[in-house]
Amino acid sequence: MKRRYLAIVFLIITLTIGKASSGTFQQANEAYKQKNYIQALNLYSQLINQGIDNPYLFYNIGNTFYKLNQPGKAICFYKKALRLLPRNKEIKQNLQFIQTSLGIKEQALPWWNKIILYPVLWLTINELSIILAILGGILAIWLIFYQITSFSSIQFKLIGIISLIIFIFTAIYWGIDAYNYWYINKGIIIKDNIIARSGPGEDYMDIVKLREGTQIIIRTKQEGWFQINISKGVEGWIPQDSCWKI
Amino acid sequence: MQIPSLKDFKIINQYQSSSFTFVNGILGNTIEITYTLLPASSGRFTIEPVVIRSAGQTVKSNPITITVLSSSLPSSPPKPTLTSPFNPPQSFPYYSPPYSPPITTPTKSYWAEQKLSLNSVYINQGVLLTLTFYHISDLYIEGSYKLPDLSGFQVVELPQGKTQKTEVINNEEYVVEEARVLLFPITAGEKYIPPTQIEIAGSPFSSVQAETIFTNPLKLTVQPLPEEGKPAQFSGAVGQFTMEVSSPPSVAKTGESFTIDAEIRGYGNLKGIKSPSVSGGEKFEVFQSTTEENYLPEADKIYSQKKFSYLFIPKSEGEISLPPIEFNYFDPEQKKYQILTSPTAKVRVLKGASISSPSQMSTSGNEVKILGKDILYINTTANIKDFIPFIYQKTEYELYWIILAMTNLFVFILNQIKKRYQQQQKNILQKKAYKKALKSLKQISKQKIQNAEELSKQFIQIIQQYLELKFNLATTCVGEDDLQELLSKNNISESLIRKTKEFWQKTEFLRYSNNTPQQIEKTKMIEEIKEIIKSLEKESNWK
Repeated sequence: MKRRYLAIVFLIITLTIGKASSGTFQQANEAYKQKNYIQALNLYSQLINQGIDNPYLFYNIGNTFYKLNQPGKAICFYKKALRLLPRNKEIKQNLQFIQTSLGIKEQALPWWNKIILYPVLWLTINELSIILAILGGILAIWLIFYQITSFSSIQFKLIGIISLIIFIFTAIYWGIDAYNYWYINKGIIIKDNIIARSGPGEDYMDIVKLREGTQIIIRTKQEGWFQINISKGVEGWIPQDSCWKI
Repeated sequence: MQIPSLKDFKIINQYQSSSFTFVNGILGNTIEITYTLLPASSGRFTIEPVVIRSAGQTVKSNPITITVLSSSLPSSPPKPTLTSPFNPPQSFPYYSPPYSPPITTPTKSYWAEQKLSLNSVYINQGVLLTLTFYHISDLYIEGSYKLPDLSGFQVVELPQGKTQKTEVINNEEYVVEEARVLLFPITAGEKYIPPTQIEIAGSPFSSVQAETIFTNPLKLTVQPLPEEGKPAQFSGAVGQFTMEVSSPPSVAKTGESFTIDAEIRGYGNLKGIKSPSVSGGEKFEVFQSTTEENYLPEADKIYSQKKFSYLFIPKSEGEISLPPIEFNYFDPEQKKYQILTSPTAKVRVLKGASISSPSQMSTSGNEVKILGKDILYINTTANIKDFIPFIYQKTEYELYWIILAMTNLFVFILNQIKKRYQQQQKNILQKKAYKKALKSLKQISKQKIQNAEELSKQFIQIIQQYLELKFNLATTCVGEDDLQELLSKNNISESLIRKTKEFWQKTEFLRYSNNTPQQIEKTKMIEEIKEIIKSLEKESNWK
């Protein structure tokens, strides 16, 4: 009996939080519509603080930052959204619009790299997870049939081999995607004309000047400074508050 | 645009700059016209509003009221106090500049003086004005200076210019306080710099009362910039500068913009300097997007930095050279105009799809006119709680894989048990085959066989039964023809196969002989078949 009560209470809490989240999202959208961008941003931030990872929320925050004339932060949120929805045209279009207005051109991958990494660039980690699950299911059924029956036709063996190969490749791509998401710290420069220095301090030599909206890779953190990779072989240190993690 | 009459002022300098900005995705154009004015006389003047008429609308700026105070020079110079040993002489203002006070023979315990770093400069060339206040250290007094009227100059106070040190003069220790300001003359001619006022606060530790003292006045000759060799684009920069221009992208697309920054750095005044003009010609449309400037006053000079950003929009395809960016300035040390030009650069322009230039924002048929571009609107329809960002973190997903693995494991174990059971059954039957064959042969030897056909039939039956059980055959139709294949498949030696086949043929022959078999012959055949089965048993088990 106690268990049943607990389940009902849990269900009510879940539904209440869900409904409240949707309500806040609508309120934030309404504030945006009224051009009250600060209020919209505050309401969207509440949802972020609730731990909601949603590409449409990130997209709307990106728009709000752009309207507040903070294009670097807008780019950061569009990139966050694209990680979850890499084929979304709206996000891509807005990102490209801001990058063009800032004069930022991202380094394009070599064609062979694009072909190899196509599934990672085009599919979400969720889609890869679903493909992996389907292939896993096919392989499991095949194995069961293989064990309990005496099927030995070429077609039957071919199904097993092809499924296994696709499964291995999907698993590799899934691994690359997960590694990229959880272990590669990408960041966006949120202030204009940030000087990357040779060490973590103002008295180190200037290495390169970074424009707002530039994407970098964060390697380490030390005393309020990030050690970053800018492009091939170019490294430097920037103040922690000049960059937001994607 | 209608500029009001400026009859009460003399226009010293005038320049115009325009800049394009993208704010919230809207391309804006700002035109800035700067006038440097010098009042012709003292009094209260009103500059009437600027009137702009555009597209049938009239816009007015606010009027400006200025009070111009009468200058005290040269007819009424400030009355110097007697406390300063450096009171201006009566021949004022015609000192021989720079004025050098006789600091080696002070007669007072505190005094002030001022001096210039140069006697003669060009318009907009910086000159350093140093104010020095001397007082005996035991007096414990403080002085604060108030700059005089420096109309005709742009004044930049140097933050690092204030210093304090001690100096021994005539065996007396003096505190020497210095303050520096940079002056940029706006007009040419002989300039008078009035005495600077120093307010001295009295000290409770000495007999000095609060009072005001003055420094000496100064004279500066400001030369006009030479007309000879003056570039048409010259906008008034005087000093020593360098220019750095960012590289363009190697590839661009028509209608898509890229930015090039031109940064001018150096010692001199860049305030109010207009951007170097860049003409895109027929190949590019060029807009000045942003301007940033920084001034870093140092101990005795000013380091200026000004960055101009240009937005280039290619209009046609091909390998196109960028128009050069030129910046002109007057170098007072070399006494000539210098021209800085950006290096030549080429851009490969490809055909682009997007439209980003206002002049290109209409379709060829003029049916649709694009007035501006903005980001796409927010998503209001998304149900944010329904989205699962990482499906693999869900319990259901993990459970799915566990079920798959468990099912497979279960089937595998079940299959292994089944296989083991089948093997056991096979082994039992194999053992049974030999025993059954021997038993059957024993029965035949005891039986009294009437005809050869019956005996042959029983012999063949024994071999067939043995082979079926031994090699786990499902059917009971092993014939002479199947013998070779069956025994070879089970790795029986060729000699034994031949022997088995010979016995089979012999038995078949016996069937059709119509003779009553003799006891001796039967026993011999039983021994022979026994031998064959024994060999088969041995070879099959061994293999």
